[in-house]
Order: sequence, then C-alpha cells, then structure tokens
Amino acid sequence: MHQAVTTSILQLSGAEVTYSSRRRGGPPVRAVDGVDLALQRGEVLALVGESGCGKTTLARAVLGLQPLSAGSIEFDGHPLPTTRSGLRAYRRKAQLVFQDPMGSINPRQSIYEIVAEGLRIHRERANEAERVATALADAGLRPPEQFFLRFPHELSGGQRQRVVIAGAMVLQPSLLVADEPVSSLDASVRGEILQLLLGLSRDRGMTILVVTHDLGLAWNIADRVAVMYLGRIVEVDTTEQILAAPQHPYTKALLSVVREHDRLDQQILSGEAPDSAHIPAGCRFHPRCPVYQSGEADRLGIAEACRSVDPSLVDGVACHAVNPPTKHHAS
Amino acid sequence: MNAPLLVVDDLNVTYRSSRGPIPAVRGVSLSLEAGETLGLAGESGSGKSSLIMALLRLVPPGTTVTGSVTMAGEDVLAMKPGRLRAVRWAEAAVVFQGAQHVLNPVRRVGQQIQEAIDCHTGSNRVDDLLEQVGIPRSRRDAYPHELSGGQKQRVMIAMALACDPELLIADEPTTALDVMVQAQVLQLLADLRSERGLAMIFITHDLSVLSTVADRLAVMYAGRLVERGPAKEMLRGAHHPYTKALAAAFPTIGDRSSRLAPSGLAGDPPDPTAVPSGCPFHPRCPIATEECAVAAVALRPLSPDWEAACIKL
Repeated sequence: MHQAVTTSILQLSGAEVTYSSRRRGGPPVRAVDGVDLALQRGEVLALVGESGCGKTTLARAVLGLQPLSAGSIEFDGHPLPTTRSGLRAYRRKAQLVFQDPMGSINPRQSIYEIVAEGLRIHRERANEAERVATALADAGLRPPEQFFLRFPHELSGGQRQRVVIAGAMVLQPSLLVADEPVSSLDASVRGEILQLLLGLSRDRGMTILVVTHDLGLAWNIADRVAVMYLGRIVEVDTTEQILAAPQHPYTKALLSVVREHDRLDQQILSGEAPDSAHIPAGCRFHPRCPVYQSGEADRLGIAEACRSVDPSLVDGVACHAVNPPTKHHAS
Repeated sequence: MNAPLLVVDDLNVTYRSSRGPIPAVRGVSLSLEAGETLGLAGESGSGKSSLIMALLRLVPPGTTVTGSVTMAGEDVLAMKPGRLRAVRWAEAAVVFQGAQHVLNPVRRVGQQIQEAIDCHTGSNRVDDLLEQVGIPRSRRDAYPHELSGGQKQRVMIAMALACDPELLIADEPTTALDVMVQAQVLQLLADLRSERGLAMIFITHDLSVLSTVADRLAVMYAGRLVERGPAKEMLRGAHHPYTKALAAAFPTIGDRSSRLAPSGLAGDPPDPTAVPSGCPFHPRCPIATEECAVAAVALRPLSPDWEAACIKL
C-alpha cells in the first residue's frame, strides 16, 4: 500500500475528537479516538459500526464540521483549513448527503432553489440554470425542468433523496460523504439510490465515504470497508475480504447477526456498545469479545495483553489474537 | 383447538380524508394458527399497518372497515367495547415501532407495565416480566430516557406480554435498532414464541428478517396481498416480481451477482388514492405487458401452500 498513500485524496492520521462531558466534572467523551485511514481517489469506502461508535462524528470531522482535538486530516495532500474562508472553499470539494431527505431540505424552497443553494453560497452565478438542470439530470430526475418549480412534499422519498444528491453534486465536489443514505427509504427504492451513488464513483471518479450500519449496502457498493468500534478503526480491508473472511472478532460478530450471511454461527454480543466516556483499558473490545470471554485468549496466552495493551492496526486488523503481541515487538 | 386462532376474510379498510376516501387495505384474507408466526411484508403505504390496526379496531373514527375478523371464534368487528378492550390485551397485543414515542417519558417503566396489568388482571408480575425480556429487575424504577433503544423495545414487549396474549403483533419492532440490538430483540421474540407458544404477526419491509422468524410470509402491495407462501423458500424463490425485487433489495453477502450491483425497482410505491388499474404493480413491473394494465388479478395457487397474484405466472 506504499504507492496508494501518494494517490489518496483523504488521509486521517491519529485523528481524535473529544467532547467535554455533559455533566460538570465528568470524564471527556472520546468519540473518535485515534483513527488512521486513507481514502483513495475514486473509491467507495464504507465506514460501518454500531450507533455511538463515532462514525458520524468522524464523518463530520472529515467535512471540517468538527474540529479535531489531536491528529490530522489531509485532503489532496494539504491539512484541512481552519479559517472560515478556507473551510468554505474546502466544502466546495467535499459535500455531505444526509440520511433523512425531509429533514435536510427546506420544505418551503422549490427544487430549483434547493439545488442552486450551493452555487449561490459560493457565488457562482454563471450558467446557474444549466448547472442545476445538469445536477438534477445526473441524479436521475429527468427531464430536470419539470422539477424546477416543484416542492419537496410533492416528491416521493426516493426523489427527495435524489434532490439532496443533486444539491451535493451541483458544485462538482471530488468527495461525497453520505451518512446512511438509504436508511429512511423504502426497500424497492433503496437499490436505485445505491446505483446512483455507485455510478457517480464509476463514471465520475467521485470518492465516496459512506457511513452506515448496513453491511448489505457495503456489499452492494463499497470497494473497501472500515469497521469502527468505540472511536477506533478495528479492521479495514477490501469489501470481499471483510465480508467473506473477517478476522477481527467484532467484525465476525457483526457479520454473524446479519441474516443475509448464513455461513457464520450467530454470535449475539450482549449489551449495547459501551460508552465512549469510559473506554475500557487494553483492547477496547475485550469486555464483549467472544475470544476473550470464552477463555480462548487465555489459551492463546494473550489475555493479559487484551486487558492492558491497546492493539494497533497491523495489516488492517487491531486484535491481539490475530497479531500476537510478541510479533509486533519483534518486528 | 382445531380452528385457526385468527381468520381475516375480505378485509377492506378505507380512511376518510378531505381529498376523498383512501382505500388502504383492499380485500385481504388470511388466517393464522395458534403458535404460528406470519410475516407480513410490504413498503410504507402498502397497507400492512392499516391491516393490523383494523384487526384490533384501532383505526381512527370515520374509517370504514368491511369484511370479517374472527379471533378465537369471536367476531372482532362486532364486539362490544368492553369485550374488545379485554381482547386487545389478553388475546392479542401489539408491539409498535419506535418505542421511544410510545412510552410515557415521565413515568417509570415498571409503572407503565403495571398499568397494562392493572387494566386487566390486577396481578403483580412486573419483575417477572422484566426478567423474561432480559431487563434487570432493578431497572423497574427507571424512566424511559434512562434506557437504551433496545431496552425500551424490551419494555414494550414486556407490556405486550403482561396479560398473556395468544397473539403478539409486532409492527417493525426492530427497524430503529442497531444490528446487534436487532439480533438481541429477534432472539428474545423467538424465545418467547417457543416458550409460550405465542402466535405472532411480524411486520417489516426487510424480507431477510422475516425469513428467519416467520413460518409463512404474506407480501402486500397497494393494499392487496400479492404473494403468500412458506417464509424460507420465499426469500430465495419468490414468484411474484414484486416479492423478487423486495428480496433482492437486501443482498446476500457473499453472492457474486449482487456485488457492486445494487438492485432496485424504478418508480415509487403508488399513491393509495390513485392506484393503477389492472395489476397495481404493472407500472413498475419488469415483466408487465399491456394486458396487465386491464386484467383483474387475484391470488391464485401455484402449489398447495403457495399463492401469487400475477397473470404472468
């Protein structure tokens, strides 16, 4: 992957986002806790994990909506700008698609105004109507002129999500961040929106970071999958590798409960994802880890490491059972 | 008991609105044996929620319900209000979607479960119920906001079980939950079903969930049943083009044909006030021909336990 680093459009190194506790004097919440991740130009990367794992916070940080408390994010080889004008210029290149189209568009604006808003914010007055029409057509709303004067409530859920995507596309960004782009849509409409996103990547070379808890979506459109647990990437690899031959016990457990996947024995982890104000010591997953809890970690002689040593991502997996601790020290 | 627990015959539900009548359910017949789980699939607006609301007469005033609903031999649509209230909890109980909006935010969860019991039997078994749904007894004094999404859904299930119903109706019980929590709640429902011999009607648009929890599957489109058959076989071997599309919307991980090839249907589910003529699915159907726009469609048997409403089959 040495060559890949030079072509990456987005590079996160040790990225951390810490929120202060809601209660006075409480421990800070480490929502993103040391993420290293690179996105190659033109790829679709799915960031998956349970709610509260920090995936949405990470997406916000990538868009410059959430400052990092440590580490760095580079876009096209340059650190994300921190000034207002710098961020504004950056957001021309990196756009967001929200999960709920009704909640992210203004119900009193016409479709034309919604899509043109980005152009107006960035004071790009030339050929406005033409660019809005192209964006709508590209998002599958054809003929686009028929949609100009309509309002969101006159459209179906799938059409509204297309309007949101057109609004993101109108500035011709090079990175699209999509947060659960189909979770609020009907089953039969979902495939069409995923086809649209996949087409943007394949035909336009758009880089897409899609945040989701839906592994079927990843199988449908993602080139690579990064699995996040309590603020950290615990496994990252090609979609085929992650979904067909997962190595991290957390990835295995997540996959085993997806009913579309019948080759794994179901491993239902008890409890909900723990709280990022209290990240366990050692491997953050060990209190729920089937390898640790079943005593297998003891037999492998790594139980102590699981309790005390925070595993780093080695060859795409952060797990002592996969990369025994002695091996790292030796290398 | 040889007679089915629930028999629905030619049920029609029509809402009244300022724009005129809205037919939400149009001639649905189905039956459920004691201890059996029926999966009811369909998208928003297909009429599946209206159907189950009508089963317990929970529809808004002014709604026209015709046809018949027979539960344990009694005609639900003709019941007096007192009897209906008893049936609603003691014979059939509903777990609604979105527990966070159903629970009262300013009352302790234990009290809310107790309320369900008091209305009907007066016994004190809140602790047992909490334990059965996997919530520690110590949480009975918690308020809903102190519980996680999965725990709230468990409280809803405990309330539904409070009066020992024979039938549990679960309307999208897992849609708002995370994958892992979803698996926990499905596991709980499966356990309850085998321990108590509960019959269940399980509603969702995710066919893959249904294929694991249900014995039989019924698929609705535009207020009608379009296919009905054995659950496991239907996920992979659906006959009706709409069921096929629904099944393909949630890909099998590992299946090469769906890799980088999301599958969807063009168009949108129909507006209930303007249902297309003939087969209501024809404008979106990949195999439709001209006759589909005019031909009347009804469920027709394909094999002894399998029916579909499509003239192309």
